[in-house]
Amino acid sequence: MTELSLMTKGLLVTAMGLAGVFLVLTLFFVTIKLMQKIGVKEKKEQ
Amino acid sequence: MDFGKILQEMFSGVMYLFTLEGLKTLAMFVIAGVLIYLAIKKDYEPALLLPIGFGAILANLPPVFGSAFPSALGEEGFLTVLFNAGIANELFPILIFIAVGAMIDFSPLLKDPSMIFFGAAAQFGIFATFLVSLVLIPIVLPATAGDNDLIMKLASAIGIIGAADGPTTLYVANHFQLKDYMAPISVAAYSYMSLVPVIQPPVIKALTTKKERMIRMDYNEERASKLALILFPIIVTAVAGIIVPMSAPLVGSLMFGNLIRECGVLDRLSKTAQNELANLVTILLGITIGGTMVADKFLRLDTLLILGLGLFAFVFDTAGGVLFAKLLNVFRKKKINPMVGAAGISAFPMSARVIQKMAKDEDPYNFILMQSISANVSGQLGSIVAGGMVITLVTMLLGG
Repeated sequence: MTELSLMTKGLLVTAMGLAGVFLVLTLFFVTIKLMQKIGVKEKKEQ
Repeated sequence: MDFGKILQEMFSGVMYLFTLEGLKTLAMFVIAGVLIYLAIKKDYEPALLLPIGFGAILANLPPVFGSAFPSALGEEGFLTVLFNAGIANELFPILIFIAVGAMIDFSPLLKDPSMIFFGAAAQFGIFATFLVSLVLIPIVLPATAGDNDLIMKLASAIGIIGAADGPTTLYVANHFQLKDYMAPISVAAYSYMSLVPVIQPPVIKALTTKKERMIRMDYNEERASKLALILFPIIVTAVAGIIVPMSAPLVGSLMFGNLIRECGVLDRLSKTAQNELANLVTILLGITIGGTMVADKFLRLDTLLILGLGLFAFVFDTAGGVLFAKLLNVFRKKKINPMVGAAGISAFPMSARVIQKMAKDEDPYNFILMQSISANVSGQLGSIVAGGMVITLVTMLLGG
């Protein structure tokens, strides 16, 4: 990996970085959706 | 008694002003004056620009007789002490994030989580600027040519400026030990944060039609449940810490501050974090950053390059958010006002306010503040995660 050209490294950081940010925020999205479902269930029970 | 030596010592500061170094000092005084003017007269992020401007004056005073540094710098100067105590060890950014976390209400985001994707899309500029920097740095700064490690590190810190997230920018720059570039990087990050109302509107207007800017969006006024507000910071810290461990200090401190706010039993600590802690660290952070603006390190070509690329990053982050919203609208029945995408940057809550103002200018009855706030707090999360990703990937590729 360390021997790749500068631009190849740059493209790798860009692709993996953007994918990583979207992945983590998608997980946050899923988490919130799950919490919303729990909230709706709680309300129905009340 | 040598009167000549006494006079020379007494007026060494005045004599210094008539040297080349003295001229540089005067130039730095003008720059510091502009920052203070913008803070006081234009009200651009005064809490930061004023201390930065004053710190710059202190750092550029003539050196003490017999020393190479002004009294505020040097090994025991108070600005050096503050730098070592708060920036070199990344303490100030962390404390700022605790304060910011205590100020953020994630309720709008928890009611409408789809806005979270704008916090990711608006990081596009970071990576676009990173690539452009890799090309431009060796050309504009020939001294760096061949030093690929330095180029990668510098490009990382410059890219992060686009998120308009000062603490994360400092965190990344400091992590890569870019002390010589700290002044222009932090000045660019904090200046662009304060220039959100100037920079974002023309970019948004260029990319949207009046009809798009007038799109109205529904909003559920109900607040998120208390359990959700308490669980959210805990889960986010765990998820971010597991997937991007390098983001854990920033995400963790932001979410710690938010948990203090939402738990309901630490009101006193929450208010302290929001007010006293935020104010105190802002004062110290500002003057310490100003203290890094020494003429020799600031009046250089790299400063112009960093300022230029920082602006590029900021513009592209804004554009990334707007274009992503327009892309989503192709597939959605209920259209999103594309201006909301621009709030996916980290400048909280300024960007959300700017978006709401723009919406109101087009249609006085259009209220998209809550959606913009949701995108804006997502931008906080997105920029931290992006910072963590950049540190992790660059360190890995450099064999660190």
